[in-house]
Amino acid sequence: MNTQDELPHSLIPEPRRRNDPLQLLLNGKTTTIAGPMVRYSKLPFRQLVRDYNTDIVYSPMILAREFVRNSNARLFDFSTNYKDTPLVVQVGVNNVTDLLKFVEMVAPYVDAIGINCGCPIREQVREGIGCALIYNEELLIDMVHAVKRKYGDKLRLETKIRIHDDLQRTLKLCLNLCSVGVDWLTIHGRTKVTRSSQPVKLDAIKFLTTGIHEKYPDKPVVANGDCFHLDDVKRIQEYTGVQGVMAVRGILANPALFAGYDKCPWSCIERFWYYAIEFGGLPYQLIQHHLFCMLENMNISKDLIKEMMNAKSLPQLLDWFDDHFYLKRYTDSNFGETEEIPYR
Amino acid sequence: MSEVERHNVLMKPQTLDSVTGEVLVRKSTGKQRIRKGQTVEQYNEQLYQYFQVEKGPMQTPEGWMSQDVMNASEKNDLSLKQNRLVLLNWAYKMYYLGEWDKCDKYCLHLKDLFGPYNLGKKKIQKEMEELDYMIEKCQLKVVAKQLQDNL
Repeated sequence: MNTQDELPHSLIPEPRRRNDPLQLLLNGKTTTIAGPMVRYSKLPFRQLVRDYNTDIVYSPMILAREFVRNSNARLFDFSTNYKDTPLVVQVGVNNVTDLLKFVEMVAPYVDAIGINCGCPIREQVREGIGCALIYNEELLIDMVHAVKRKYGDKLRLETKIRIHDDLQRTLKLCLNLCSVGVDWLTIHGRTKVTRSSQPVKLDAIKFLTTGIHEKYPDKPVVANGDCFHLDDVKRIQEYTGVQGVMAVRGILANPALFAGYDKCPWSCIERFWYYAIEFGGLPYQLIQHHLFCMLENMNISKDLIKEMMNAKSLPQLLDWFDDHFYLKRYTDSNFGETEEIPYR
Repeated sequence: MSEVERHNVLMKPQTLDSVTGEVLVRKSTGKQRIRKGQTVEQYNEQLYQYFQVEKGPMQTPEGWMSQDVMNASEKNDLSLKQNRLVLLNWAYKMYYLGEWDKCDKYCLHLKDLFGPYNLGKKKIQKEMEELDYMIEKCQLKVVAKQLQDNL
């Protein structure tokens, strides 16, 4: 492309905001949120959780560096449709330049952008991405400041952080983020090295929420960690005083969590199959893993699940389901409504 | 250097060029790595490709797949996995809906289309095996249906 073919700035669409997540967080009810999961929060799964009372849904973390440089990465990392809203796209980034480019390209198609400051995966942390950012406060604040200075209220920007061992350091970071205009904060109540088997520190989230609200009473805070049932939403909200509760592992296993189901209902399996086929683009291994998580949550026998994991392709997997269960298609009556497992 | 200091040094990338986004990171071995920047021209090319050619991210609303879309998609570069996957999705949909006869014919058609690219590449080989599986199952199901109809 010659420089004279450069895209005039006027042809770059403005940021979109069909459904403002900030307004949802400020409406006085506890907002329910499906958090970002590496690889798993793609379009079919996002649509599935929206069917079951999830107010806001995140994409998986997308690496800004790859997205702004490589069209194949874009094709693989992000697909959407007009029902995919409110949508927060989460970005993994380690410099202001890549973040501003990423925002310019993604903002017209999403409702908000979230900076991942919580991912503890070593490969990302070594690149200064994810959880590394809570130890690089200056850069994180610069990034938020740069985006908000350019877009102001036209774009919603969130940061999802983990806590430090020293909570005063976390509070200082949160207040600084608020001062440069972050729209809301999500706090995962674990440190970089806390294992997920350790309980989330709700005391820490409560301390930080109180501290933030003392100075910024209208700044929404979302709690993340150990939300596995609808009861947990109420318990976490009441204890910490947050405006929203985010589920991640819990909603992967039971996408109907926010609709009050204690176990994944069969309807999720039928709907997930439909969305995976209908939207396309989901690699086979991811489809199999989603189904594995849901079946495991439904207490289906381990032997049967093991058998399912032996299927090597999508048609084989579909045949396995048809051999063992009555799996309704979307053209069938009562599709996606059954709670109990319809064994053959 | 203490363990904590070492840990924090590793996690702080250094921006070398704020225009291109060139960044210096350190590996766990202490080795430095430069993550190359992107020039203004390179970024403009991506903007043009993304907004003007690709028209933003891929949009797949319910009902987006159709014979017309597939006919157009056949003209894409089928040496690329993502382009073949679009066509395979259409076959999956027919298989999911139990349209055995149509699926059988379409899978045979895809085998012809993918054949020239099947040069011992493991990934394409897997797709060809998947097509063979669907063809075999569809044909069995067509025969079973005919037998049932004749009863």
